[in-house]
Amino acid sequence: MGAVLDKKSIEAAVAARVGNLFAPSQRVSQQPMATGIPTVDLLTGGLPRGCITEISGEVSSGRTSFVAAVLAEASHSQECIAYIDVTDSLDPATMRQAGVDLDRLLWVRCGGKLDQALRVADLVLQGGGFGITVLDLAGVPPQWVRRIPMAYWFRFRRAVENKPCCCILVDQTPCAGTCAALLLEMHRDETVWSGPPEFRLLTSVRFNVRKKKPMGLQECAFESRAETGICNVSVTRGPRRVAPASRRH
Amino acid sequence: MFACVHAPGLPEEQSCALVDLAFSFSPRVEARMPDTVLADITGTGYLFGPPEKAAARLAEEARRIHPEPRVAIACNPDAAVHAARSFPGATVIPRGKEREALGFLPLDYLVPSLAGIDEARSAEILSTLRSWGIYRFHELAALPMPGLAERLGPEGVLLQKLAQGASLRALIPVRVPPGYSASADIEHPVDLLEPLLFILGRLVHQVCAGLEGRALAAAELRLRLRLVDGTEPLLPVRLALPMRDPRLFLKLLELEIAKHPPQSPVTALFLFADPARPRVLQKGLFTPIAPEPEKLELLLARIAKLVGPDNAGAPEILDTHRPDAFVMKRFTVRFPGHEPVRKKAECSLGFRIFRPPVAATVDTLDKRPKIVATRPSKEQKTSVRGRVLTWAGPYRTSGDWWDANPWARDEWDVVLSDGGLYCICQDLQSGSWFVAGVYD
Repeated sequence: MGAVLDKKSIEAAVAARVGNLFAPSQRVSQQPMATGIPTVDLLTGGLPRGCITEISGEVSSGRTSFVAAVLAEASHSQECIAYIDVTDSLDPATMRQAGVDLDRLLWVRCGGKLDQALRVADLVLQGGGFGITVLDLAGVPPQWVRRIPMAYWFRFRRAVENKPCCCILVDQTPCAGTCAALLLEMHRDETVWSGPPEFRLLTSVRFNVRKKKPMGLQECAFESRAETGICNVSVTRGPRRVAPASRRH
Repeated sequence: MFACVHAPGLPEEQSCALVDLAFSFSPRVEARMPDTVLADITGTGYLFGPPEKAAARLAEEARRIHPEPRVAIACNPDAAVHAARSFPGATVIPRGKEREALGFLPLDYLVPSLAGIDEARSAEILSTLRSWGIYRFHELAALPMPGLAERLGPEGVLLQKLAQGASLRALIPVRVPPGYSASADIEHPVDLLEPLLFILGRLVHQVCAGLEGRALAAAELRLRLRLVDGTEPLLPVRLALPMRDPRLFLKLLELEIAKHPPQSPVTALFLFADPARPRVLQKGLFTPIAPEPEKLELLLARIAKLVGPDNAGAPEILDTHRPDAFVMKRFTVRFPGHEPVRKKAECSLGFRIFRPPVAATVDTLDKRPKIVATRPSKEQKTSVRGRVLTWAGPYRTSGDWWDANPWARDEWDVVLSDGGLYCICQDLQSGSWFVAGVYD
């Protein structure tokens, strides 16, 4: 009883300055951000703003293609993008090919230093102003990612809360836990080649996107697997570098 | 109308603050003495009100520089100077009343340099006047001009005009300096950052006050440190946009000093600011969010301190076919509406580059890769190992053969048994294999 009275007195004392101290913060509903891939937009309703979105998958599962599509859509909306690249593996040429405006892209190369990347992500998210902040942990071994204290993800979630920006984590295995509002798991479905074996050309790759979070919608997605549960995203391969694609044909 | 501000005993190094104060009231300012400035405030009645109000406001502003400033407003510039140097507080001399207002001042208060008379000649004339029993302004003003001219020459007449408050001369305006600066000599050399920032903070505020007084901002800051060993390292801070925030400047300078710490204790600081017109921006209701330029500068400086200045910025692809050819340029906020919106390209396959490429051992069969295995090393932790399930290639690329640094390689796209879709390359010059990256 005494504890309850103390809580009330504390609330009354600080109400003028910080409002209702112990009440859960109200989340401001914001328009989600389009991913640039219609089928994924149908599945997820877009990436939620003010939240953490986690994209996980193995090597060659389509995470970078998906992120490039999201960044291209954000560039099209004239938003600024921060890309925190832990393993220094971003390819600017394919990003530009995907439609990303490189002038709006703040690329931070951390050279494999995970602690630096986390500090930079904290600075960027606390500073605000970027429509999308991508923390690319895809090249970091999962055992290292799992060692990141959960306090980081809670801090990042708090930093983007009620702000009109998206925080995207790209990794091999999910690590943000309850802090991620949307968790997409990706798999490579099929690799499409063209031409006879001696003149074979990589044409396209099909990826599967599976929504694993929020839990309520996951069951719906599985029930309607053919339509929205697992959507096939056909990603067409373009030239990977500045050189014309015809050079390799 | 002329307004004069006199700060008795003001050190010469602070005279620029007095000039900046005068510039905040008028664009025409004369500063012939270090402790006195004269401003032409003709036509500023709509801005500052009647002369009494203008004098009070000027005195209030001048109290930031000197505890007891003296302000005078008169229609004659020399009368304003004499009044400011003689009467405490704020004084307003109405038109035509200069002679009465200054009449009871002793001749010691006369400033002959205003009439262009050198010190020796003025001392000689004043000595003669005293020998005649002339001790005050009104006594000199009452002397007959022809007789005065016969006995003391044209200098005597000029002094009489000064005493009458009726001199005729044009203002000699100060030219706007190309840059703003502040400096501080440190008595005991400082080797710690905290006390150095304490001194630097005063200089930054001084420079910002000067810029604010003329409605300008800084496009670049340059900090020069004088060290005990005699060297003077220069630390420039280039700003993406003109700014005028002393707290931001101090933080940027702190990060710059931390990035290039001085090798020995500091004995003096010199801060320069290049002036520029401040940024004027009309924001729109539907403008997408973007980092505020001031915050962005600080953010980029902090990130650069963490990861290095070459590892943060906006990538710019070079005009070459060489793989992974790009440079990092400074990231700046581009405002919508100022550039055409690019048409969005179709969804393309992502690629993750291994920097540097991972050296690999490739077993071939019929000149086609069959098994790929990377050699683990301390620098490169990426491990790729597997049997080639499907391949496409080789695709030969080459370039710069006319240059000193040519390149030529065969590229293969392979699906390995570990599930990855990689791009492996063979350098045609050395014959070595490496994994360039992975499609993702």
